[in-house]
Amino acid sequence: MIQLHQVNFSYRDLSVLERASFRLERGEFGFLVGGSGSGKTTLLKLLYGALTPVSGTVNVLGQSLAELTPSTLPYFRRKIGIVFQDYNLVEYKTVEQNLAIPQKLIGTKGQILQENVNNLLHQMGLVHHKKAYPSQISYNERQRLVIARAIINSPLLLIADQPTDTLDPSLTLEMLALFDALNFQGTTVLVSTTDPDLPDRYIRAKNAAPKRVFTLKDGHISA
Amino acid sequence: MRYKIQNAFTHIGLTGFNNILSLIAIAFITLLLNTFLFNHNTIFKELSLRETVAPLVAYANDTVVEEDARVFANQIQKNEHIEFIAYVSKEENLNRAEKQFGPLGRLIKNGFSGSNPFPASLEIYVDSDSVSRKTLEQIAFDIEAYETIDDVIFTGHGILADISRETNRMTIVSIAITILFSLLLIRAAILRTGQYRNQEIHLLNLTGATQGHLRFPFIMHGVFLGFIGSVLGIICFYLLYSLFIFQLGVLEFIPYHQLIAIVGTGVIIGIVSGISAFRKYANTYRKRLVT
Repeated sequence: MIQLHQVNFSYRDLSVLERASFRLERGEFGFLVGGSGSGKTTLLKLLYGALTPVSGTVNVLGQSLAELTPSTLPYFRRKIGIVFQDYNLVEYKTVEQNLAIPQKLIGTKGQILQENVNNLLHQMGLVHHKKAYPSQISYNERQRLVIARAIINSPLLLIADQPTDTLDPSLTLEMLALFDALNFQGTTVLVSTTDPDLPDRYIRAKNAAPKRVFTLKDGHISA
Repeated sequence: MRYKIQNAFTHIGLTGFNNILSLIAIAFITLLLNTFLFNHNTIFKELSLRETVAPLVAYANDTVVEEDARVFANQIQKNEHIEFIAYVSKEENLNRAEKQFGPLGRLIKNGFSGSNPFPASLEIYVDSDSVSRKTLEQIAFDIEAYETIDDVIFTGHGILADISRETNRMTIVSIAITILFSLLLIRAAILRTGQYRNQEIHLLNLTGATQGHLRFPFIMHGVFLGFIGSVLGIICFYLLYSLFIFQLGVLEFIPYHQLIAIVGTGVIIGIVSGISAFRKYANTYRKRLVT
């Protein structure tokens, strides 16, 4: 499902990943743990083709990313839900409109679109803010909106870049439970975090199934 | 497609003031182009009305008989610029005056108690490519040297042809300037909106928008500015025309086919500007768009 093999990546002279390898099977739930600036975001960007490795191979959803062209890349990305670290919300669109973007891109329209959006707004507790703009809602609510937008197309793979770092502890566990539910339905999930205790804390609190944990340190990944 | 159109409207609506300024500028440029076209059309029409009139008329003195005049006509026809020469007898000139002046013509005829005061004349037609004030003056100078010729008059062809050529040149230059400035203006306006939408474009790109999805709003924005700008320019020109119609008299407004061509060109410029703006945007934000 996700396979990184001997991947090297650097920003000019600054090496971020050195012969990094890991494998996450289809339907698995993985945590990517690492400190600030350890390269978590860079690694996740490599997975959805926003960055290209200097060397090594990246395979995601059975697709070698090196073989993707500008015309096939968009269709590959539609299978992935991404929770961006910096939200990436469109400030001049309402909560409802922001949530509808991925659905509209795949051609969903009319009543089905409205139902999908409303269902997720209910599920995320954002229904009262549907006509509000991102600047008018709290950071917690923004984070929920970003997560909702990432999962609205029922992606095969969900990549979440530090989605719980700005959430309060109870909401953090709720969000992870939501990811877990998605994982239970078959979506492969990879969540990055700076908190090394988060996987254990979540498993204990929710009595959840064990998760894969990958630690990223000094450019190397250890399972 | 529906989402592409929605996106295009969002794109256009985002920078309203920017759009209004661009539209005013494009409309003003189109207004100037319309003025040149209007002048060009008017002069061209005037010139075509005079096509049947000889650019030069040489009046022979009264001693010249028809046969001599025809021999003389053959002599001067050797000039490379002269296409042909028509001999008009004294009688014919008298008849023309009668027709032209009506009752006054008869008065003239009677006033001279049977004698014809009109001289015979030679109507000199010049090759249309050579019609210019300078050429005609040279021909007239050559002809006036002959003793048989009393006077040579110009019927205004030369000046009109010169003005027509100048107007043609000015119109072509103004079309080129209009196209260039409109292109740059529209491109700048679209790019500005693109930069404003940067966050959204980035998100669309990462969530699976194709290049078509991303490019379409840029092109539609160009079409909008090109179409509305040119139509506004035409409307402004029509208002000015209506305001000065009494002073302009019988001068006709720009014909429909030229108006359609102006709007069509506006739309094409819009499309080209949109594509060019997107390419520039994609180059600037290549890392965000392609990879």
